[in-house]
Amino acid sequence: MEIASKYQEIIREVIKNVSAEFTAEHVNGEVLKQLEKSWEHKLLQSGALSVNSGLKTAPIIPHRGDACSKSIDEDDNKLTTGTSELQEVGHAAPNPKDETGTKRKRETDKPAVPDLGQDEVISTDSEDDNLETEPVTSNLVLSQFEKVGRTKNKWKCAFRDGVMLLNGTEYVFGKATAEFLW
Amino acid sequence: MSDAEDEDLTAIVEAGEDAVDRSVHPSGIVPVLQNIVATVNLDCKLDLKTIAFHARNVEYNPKRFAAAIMRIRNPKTTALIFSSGKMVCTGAKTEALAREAARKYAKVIIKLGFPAQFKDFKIQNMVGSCDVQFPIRLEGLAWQHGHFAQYEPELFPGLIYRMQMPKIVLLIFVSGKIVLTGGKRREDIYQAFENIYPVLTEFKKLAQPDEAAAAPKALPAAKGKK
Amino acid sequence: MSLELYRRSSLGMALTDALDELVISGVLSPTIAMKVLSEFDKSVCRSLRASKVKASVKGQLHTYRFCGNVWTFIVENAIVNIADVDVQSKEVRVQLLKVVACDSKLGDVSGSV
Repeated sequence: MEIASKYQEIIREVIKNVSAEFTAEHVNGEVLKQLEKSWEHKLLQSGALSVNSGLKTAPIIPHRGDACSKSIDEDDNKLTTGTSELQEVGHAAPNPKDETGTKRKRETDKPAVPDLGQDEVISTDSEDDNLETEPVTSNLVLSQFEKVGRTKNKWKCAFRDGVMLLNGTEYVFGKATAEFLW
Repeated sequence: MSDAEDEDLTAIVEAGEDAVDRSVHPSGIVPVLQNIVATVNLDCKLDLKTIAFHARNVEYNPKRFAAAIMRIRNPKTTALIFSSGKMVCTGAKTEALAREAARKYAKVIIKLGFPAQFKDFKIQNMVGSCDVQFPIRLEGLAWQHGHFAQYEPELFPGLIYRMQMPKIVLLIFVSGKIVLTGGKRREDIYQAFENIYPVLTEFKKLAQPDEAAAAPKALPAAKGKK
Repeated sequence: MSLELYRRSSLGMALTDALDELVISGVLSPTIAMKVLSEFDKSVCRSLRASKVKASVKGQLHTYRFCGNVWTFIVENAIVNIADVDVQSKEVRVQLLKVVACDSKLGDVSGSV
């Protein structure tokens, strides 16, 4: 799969593009190297890359649950654009005082628990009032929609530029289609 | 948007002969209710974004439409929820189901913390349909009932019949399928159909002789037959 | 302007964690950490745009939502097919799948940066 090399490329690119900024801010050059190493290490630890991937800077420890242990809630809908909304996306803001930040850190530090049974079975009548909390899953597609259409209970979607975490492994796609029955 | 067009309007009435109350349905045919549109006033201001965030199966796109659109599976319906507290519920097949659905939507909104009431529930429109199971000469019907009928096959394949008593609009198709809409009570739908039924039989398309006289090329006749 | 959506990928989470540690230990300012994240947003968008992989998803839709220009779908018994060029396509089945999708028109804006 291309994902490991693709991710390697992104890491290199980001590190390269921020290096001037680091220098301008008088951040010790070692810190940038440390960031790169730590980023790669955490990615490998997440186990999201398939085992035969190209990244070899650290031994691969497949921690299935790691990258997906946080629950995902309504802030989905806040993930739009613009730096003005940075504050809203709480867990994405590396604010030391931010509680969610430290909480997640704890989660990633503890040994990962296999989360195979994480998917909940949905009781049939819970859908009735459209209010029950949504079932939580670590299987996640992050993407952009081009078209979403519905005819009666048949949904058809066209997505692009996606990242998918499926059973603990990450995939990317350029284009995707979806067909759902509601 | 309207679920009326979503629904299958061509259901054929299959009630056994003996099940039909001939005093109400002399024709022996009972139109089937396909869609009921009801409104209710929840009588409180609603923050639609909150509703869209916290309830499920909701679409809210204020740039395109002012209401939040929510659906439930049982009874299979769609609700348009406005920030004024007005709600429109469509898709139910009976009056009771329309009310039940509207109550369920109201319950969702109450659970989200809005002080919703359930005021002035009202059926606004009913759509019924049936099939007389014989083809109809729409041109002839339109000609003789010119005052009520509008038939422009190039615009719409059905004949639009605006009945005055009861005030019901009927869509009459050459196939014998009938759609009745505009009623607030099912009795009006039934009555409208009984009113039109004798007219339909009068303009029943007779297979051969009629066709042969009208057009030497017998092809179009095949269309209406079933 | 760039989508922040992909910060929730494993790659984005790994970066966020790494930045968190550096900020907490005082070697990096929150401001510069934000800059790194927004640089990440741009890079990941560009990279995904170049991907030739095609995917398809099928399943039962448990819940849908459209709000704030974001579609969210919860899909049950999802079958995901992933087809890379010159590589045999792969099928992955999951009991539950959450799809979060932003408007691609917003992504376009960032694409021209």
